[in-house]
Amino acid sequence: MSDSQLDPRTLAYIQTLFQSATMTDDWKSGLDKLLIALRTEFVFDNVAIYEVDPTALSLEVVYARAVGRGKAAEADAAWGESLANLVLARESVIVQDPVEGATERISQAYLLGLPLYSGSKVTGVMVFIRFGGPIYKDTQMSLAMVAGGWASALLNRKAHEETHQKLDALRQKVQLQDDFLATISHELRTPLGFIKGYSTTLLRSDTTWDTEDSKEFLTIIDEEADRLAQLIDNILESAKLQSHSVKLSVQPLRLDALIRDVIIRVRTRHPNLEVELQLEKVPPIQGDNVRLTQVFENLFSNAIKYAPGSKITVVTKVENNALLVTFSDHGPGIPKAYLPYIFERFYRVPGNRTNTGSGLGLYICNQIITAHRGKIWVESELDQGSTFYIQLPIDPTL
Amino acid sequence: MPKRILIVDDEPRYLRLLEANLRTEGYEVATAQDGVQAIDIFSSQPIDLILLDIMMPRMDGFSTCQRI
Repeated sequence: MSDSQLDPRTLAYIQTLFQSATMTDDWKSGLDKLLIALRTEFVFDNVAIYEVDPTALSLEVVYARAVGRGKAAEADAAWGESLANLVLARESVIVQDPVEGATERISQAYLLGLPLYSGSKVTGVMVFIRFGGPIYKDTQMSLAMVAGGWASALLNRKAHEETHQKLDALRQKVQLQDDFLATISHELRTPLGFIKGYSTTLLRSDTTWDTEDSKEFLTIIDEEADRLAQLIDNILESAKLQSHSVKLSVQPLRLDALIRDVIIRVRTRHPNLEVELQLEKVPPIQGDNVRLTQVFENLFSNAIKYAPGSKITVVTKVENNALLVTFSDHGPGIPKAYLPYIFERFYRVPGNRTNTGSGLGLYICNQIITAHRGKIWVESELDQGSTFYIQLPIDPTL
Repeated sequence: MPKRILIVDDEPRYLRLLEANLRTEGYEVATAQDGVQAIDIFSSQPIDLILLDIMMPRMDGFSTCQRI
């Protein structure tokens, strides 16, 4: 067997190209290194890579570099677009010489367009430009085609990286849904278990219960049924909010009046609840009555659950041209480490196992306030209490 | 002498439910809401049987069981 007739220097160069393209962490820096290595043997001013967008069936720029003359053209890769479309249509290498009669150097553009493949399908186009020549010689065309092959591989790598990212996002979504199902089935089972347990107890034929016990058990059944109903409402609500199908039906409303109504309703269930109101007369806002009522009912129900027996202070005022509501309790507070997460879907502050909840309430509040172009946030001090702030835009036309 | 049962669970409504039903069966019932309370009660009075929850604040069911 005779030794290879290939020139060792050429082989070494091809190996350099290969290493530049493959031994990198991501497709973009792979292209950077490949094109720098290419330029030592193949001169060009600009290069652009277009990729076929499979949904729109059109080309979009995914990579552009201006290395030589005409650096200003870097951001604008439109110069190669018509040639790229031609390459895509013909599925072949195309050389385009300058328009005849062009005198300015910048318009004496020598273009070379190469199809990029994934398998046998053209999935992209690489276009080189030389201002004022020289023309592309045969050997250089071959070199550009070698580079084109590796650019194709890098585009495939790009697709691979993107698929991976999408997959990770999907995996996370599925995980969240699994967690959701686990949480929800546990949360639904708890009130149902009490309803079943206490009614079975009351119905026992081998014993009788005095009036006090019966009333106590029935009250528990009643409360747990309410809790179950509220939980189901919250689940449906959060599913709706998640699919963005919530539409606000906005009308001018007074928030101080809305808060007073909520308090009246809360008091029918919690007659001993102490509420201090400092409701400044605030301008009306554009808001959804039902949704905003839901937000405040949720804040009250949280305060009653997590800061039992505590006084609640509600203040409304105008600050920085917006309506600001502060809602404070004097309960145990929320540890600092958990504060950033409490508006997230299904998040529940750990260690509150005696209290029940789905981790949906504050998520729903946040969605509703955000839909009103407002903001909700919380500050909390251990053993001092928590304060929720709600900021809503004031409509100057009202 | 009626037998004494200690029920340990962090959910008061479970405690109440079991307590009410066991009393009608003629047992004496003590309750605790976590492992620490349970050990206190167990070491200060005679207990014949413990019904022990696993996940509880302060001290879980496994640690409680080991200490007893």
